[in-house]
Amino acid sequence: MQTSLNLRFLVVAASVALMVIGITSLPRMRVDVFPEFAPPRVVIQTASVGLSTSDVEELVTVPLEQGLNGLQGLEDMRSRSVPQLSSIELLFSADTDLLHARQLVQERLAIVSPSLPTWAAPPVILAPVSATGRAMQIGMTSSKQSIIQMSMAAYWNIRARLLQVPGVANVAIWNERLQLMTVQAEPALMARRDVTLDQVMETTAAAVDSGLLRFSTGSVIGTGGMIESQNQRMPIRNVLPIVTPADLAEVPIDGAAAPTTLGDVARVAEDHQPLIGSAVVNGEPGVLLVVEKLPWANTIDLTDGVERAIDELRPGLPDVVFDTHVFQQADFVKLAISNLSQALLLGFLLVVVILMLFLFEWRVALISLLTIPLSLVVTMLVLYWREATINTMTLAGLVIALGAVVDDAIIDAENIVRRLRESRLAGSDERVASVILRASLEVRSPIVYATFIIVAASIPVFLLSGLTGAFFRPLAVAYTLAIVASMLVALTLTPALCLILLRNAPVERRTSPLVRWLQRHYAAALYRIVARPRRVYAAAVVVTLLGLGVGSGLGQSLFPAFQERDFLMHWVGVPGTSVQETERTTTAVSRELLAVPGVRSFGAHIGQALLGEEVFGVNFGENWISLAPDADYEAAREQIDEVAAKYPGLFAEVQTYLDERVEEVLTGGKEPIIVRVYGEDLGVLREKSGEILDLIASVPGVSNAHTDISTDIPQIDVEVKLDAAEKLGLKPGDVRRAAATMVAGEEVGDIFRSGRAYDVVVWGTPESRGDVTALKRLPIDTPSGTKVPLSDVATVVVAPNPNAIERQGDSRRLDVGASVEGRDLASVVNDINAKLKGVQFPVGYHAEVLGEYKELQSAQSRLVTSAVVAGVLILLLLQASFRSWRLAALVFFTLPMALVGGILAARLAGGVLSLGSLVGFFTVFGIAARNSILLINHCQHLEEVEGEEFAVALVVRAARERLAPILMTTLATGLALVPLVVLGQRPGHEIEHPLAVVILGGLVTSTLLSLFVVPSLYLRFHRAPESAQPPESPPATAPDRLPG
Amino acid sequence: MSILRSLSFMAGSIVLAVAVTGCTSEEEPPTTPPAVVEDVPGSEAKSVTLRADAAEAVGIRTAAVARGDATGRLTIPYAAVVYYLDGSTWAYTETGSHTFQRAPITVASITGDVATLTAGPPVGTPVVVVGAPEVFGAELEIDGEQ
Repeated sequence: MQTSLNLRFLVVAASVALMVIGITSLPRMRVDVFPEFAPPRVVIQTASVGLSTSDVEELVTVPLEQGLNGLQGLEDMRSRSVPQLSSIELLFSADTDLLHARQLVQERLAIVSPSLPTWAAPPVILAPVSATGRAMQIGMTSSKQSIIQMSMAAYWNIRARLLQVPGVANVAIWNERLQLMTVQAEPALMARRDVTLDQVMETTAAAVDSGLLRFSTGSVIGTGGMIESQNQRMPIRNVLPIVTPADLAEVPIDGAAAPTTLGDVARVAEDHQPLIGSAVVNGEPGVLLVVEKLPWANTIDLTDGVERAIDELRPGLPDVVFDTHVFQQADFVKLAISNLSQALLLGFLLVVVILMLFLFEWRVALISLLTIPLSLVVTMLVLYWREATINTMTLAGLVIALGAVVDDAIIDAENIVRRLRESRLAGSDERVASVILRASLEVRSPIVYATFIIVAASIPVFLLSGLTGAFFRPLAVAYTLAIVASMLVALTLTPALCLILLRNAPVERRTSPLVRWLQRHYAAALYRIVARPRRVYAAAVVVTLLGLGVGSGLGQSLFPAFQERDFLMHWVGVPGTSVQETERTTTAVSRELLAVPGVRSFGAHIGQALLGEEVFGVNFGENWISLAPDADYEAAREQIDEVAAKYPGLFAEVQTYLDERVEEVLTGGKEPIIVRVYGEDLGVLREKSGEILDLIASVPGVSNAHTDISTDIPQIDVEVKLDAAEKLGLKPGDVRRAAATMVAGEEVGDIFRSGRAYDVVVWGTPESRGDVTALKRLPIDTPSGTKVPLSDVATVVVAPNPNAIERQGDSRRLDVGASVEGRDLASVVNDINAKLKGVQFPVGYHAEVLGEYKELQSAQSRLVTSAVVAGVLILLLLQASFRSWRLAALVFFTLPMALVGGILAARLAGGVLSLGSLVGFFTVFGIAARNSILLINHCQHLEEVEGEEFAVALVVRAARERLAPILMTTLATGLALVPLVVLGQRPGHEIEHPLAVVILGGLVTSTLLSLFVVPSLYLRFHRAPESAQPPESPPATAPDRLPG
Repeated sequence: MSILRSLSFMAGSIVLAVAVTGCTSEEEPPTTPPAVVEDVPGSEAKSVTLRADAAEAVGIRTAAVARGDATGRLTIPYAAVVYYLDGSTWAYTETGSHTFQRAPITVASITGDVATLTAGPPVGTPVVVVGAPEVFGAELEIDGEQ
């Protein structure tokens, strides 16, 4: 400290430099709503053409799962098998390096892949995405261009351009209709002309440059060659003349009896592939682009980059209307951060007011106002260097730390001013520098111990693990960094600034009238109180018991509902519904939703997209509804819920994206409460789930209980009759290939044109594959040249097959999910657990309750254990500070009283303790401890250093001298949080609001504790061997002391 | 007023406030759900009654069972045919105002948009041609509402 006084100008210069660096670095920091709360995850998708759900599970998912078991760091493996697609999600422990995990997965896949059926495309590891991976959704509609044209532009131009934007992990295209050249064979015409399907396929493959049929003549591509003369070399290029379908239709068929062209036996036209999904944008069919972000991406930068890219592309696509506001995560980010920053700023201004009122000396106020931002800026700088994100949790940590930061700033300055005043009024000629040094040293020890105690009090939050840890650790980090930074600043910069500014300042002239008034009344009251300490003790005990009573009646929940202005609505029809029907109902509901006042955009995606993250059939859709910034949130939400509830026969559920993501990371399901039933047989699983559904639907507080939609879908099974086939000389594989080509199409070649590739597909006409009877009539070529209908050689029946099979940890599972309304999470789950005990499970089946509640429980138990550790640490620090076990124990046991105010405030504000409230308690604890330390230390200082005699007067004097800083800290911390509480539950405040409520309430009781209970206790229990001093009768007026 | 008195006053008023805040909000009377499913004695198919606005929202349209001219067999639009899980074929007939029930049909052949039946509801029965999957979903109680 002596050094910082000597080098004061250097210290000030260094501080200025830090401020400048900090402020210029701020705009470059990554901003997001939440920290990355998902553990490292790897998703593997395997497209399995033509496989049913059970086949996908048996032949693809289970072998992959078995091959991936036992990976280093693997904590959970979840999978979902639907028709033609298998998706496996691997969750790793939090300290795993994502890229390393991906490499290990890749190695295992290389071993397992060759054993998968050949029609299972190689497994693909999806790009790594953030926990809130969907950054933007962009809708494309056009009145002039077809969906095929828009899809081609989307795939070849738009997607490629968007992938260049830094931070974009993937762009999935919903309703992608690729332009294909199709040769749709007409069975009747083929029969008349005596042409076989094989002939059609081989001709088509041979007609284009690169045919894909391996053993056809078309597979030999042939090179161009060159002509070299004596002088020159000229390469030869063969230009494919087939450009339009009409060109292809003129190609003659090999081996046909009479000259026949492709056009004679087939309809050659441009068409698109069978759809795995679709999209509806703003009430009409369109293309939906979903932009996903990398875990380390900056959402705001990414959004700006994508918007710029779309603006660049717009002039080249004048007929296409782009709606970039179907969903933008950045909207919520900006809103939340701006709301929080506003609250932070308002709080800071209120703090300024308090400082002026209490200190009444503009120079000291100025010093405090310079040091406070410096501490905050240094904190942000440290976070920036650690490459952390600024998110609502970080900002919340800073808001909470504001009080302690202010305290550090004030306490040193205030003490220096007081000592300067004393020395000047006493006429001493001690040098200013030495007064400052003495004053600073006086408070140095309490500042340091108080800071350590606050840090110790936040250890439990650091030790949280899992989802809650991922959320709250940034808050604890920001909080601790800010406090440590302010301690360092208080020890170095404040004395230096005081010396510079106060050297010749006439500080003895004015003291704050407010402070004088408060001190007078406080001293008088304190005399009366310490005269009859029993009342105070009784009051303290009563208040503590009240707190315990109210506290045990409070409900608990984990996370509040987030107030995003975008909603997503799951829209699920009965499995087996066609894509056209889902499009129809989606369009109908979109028209109604767009009519709701406040709704700005609507985009829906149905089914799957290539490399998209949705693994569902075409009966499943998600409707995304975006509200305008000035819309009436509550009214719009209500109307949207009404519209959703109106449609019969469809499962509709309205959520916000962040809610859905949090739930899904927790369990893989999308609700706060999940009862997961494990077992092997789907029938038993469905039965048990139905039973459990009935049980929990009757629990009060449960809303929207439902089971996973697991039903069978009608599926057409084609099984070759071996004897019938043998008689005709047909092999089962021949029948399969013929049927598959006519119904699903077979790609036989590619046409390359202007940098794009167009598939050439041989297919059946829509009429020949439009219904089951047509399928039965499908002609199959026999070796003898005749054609037989399919039903002659195969049985064609409709049979049930599961729509989806979900697995977790190597077992099939089925979920029963529910939301909670009107009651708190913990009580509802307790009731559910009680009811579950009565359910009988056959051997090999069991159920677990998962979801938010499990996370809450584990977080709470962790908090309790680490709270004990922190408590011990705090006790030790108290002892070191007071150098007395008695005092340390005393102060320690009175601290819980400080929390009572927080409990009561929580009760008034809704009666539910969320995890944010619990974190608030730790903060209050730290502040209460800090104030007690300052008070008792001052008493000890007066006695030991200034040699005053231990008496009531001593205690009252110490308390009175500490009144101003204690009140200032309390008011500063409280007022910094008042904007958060008063402005209510705005977007961005959801987690901080309960935090602020608890801290405000706790501050009230902790201040009362520090001002009245602690002095009484100190008087009573200090120096026990000398036996309690009989309390003196209070003098008529408080002794007149030097003001300050 | 001594600090102690004000303290107890504060505590008392807090307790009072806490007790008063314990009242719950009123609940609205429940409205009829968009679809009501009832068992029909003697039939495995259930009767599904849609609320009027629900039926309109989802766009239910019906058409009458006709007799095909050439063959004399029953015909219904292909869009009315619903395949049940076990492969049996049904159509949803309208048995009352916005009330529907599955009726078994046997499909002989389908040409274009017309399904020719060998067995089915009598001529003139209205069958659902737009929105049949939603009625199906309502019957299966897919929305999970209890």
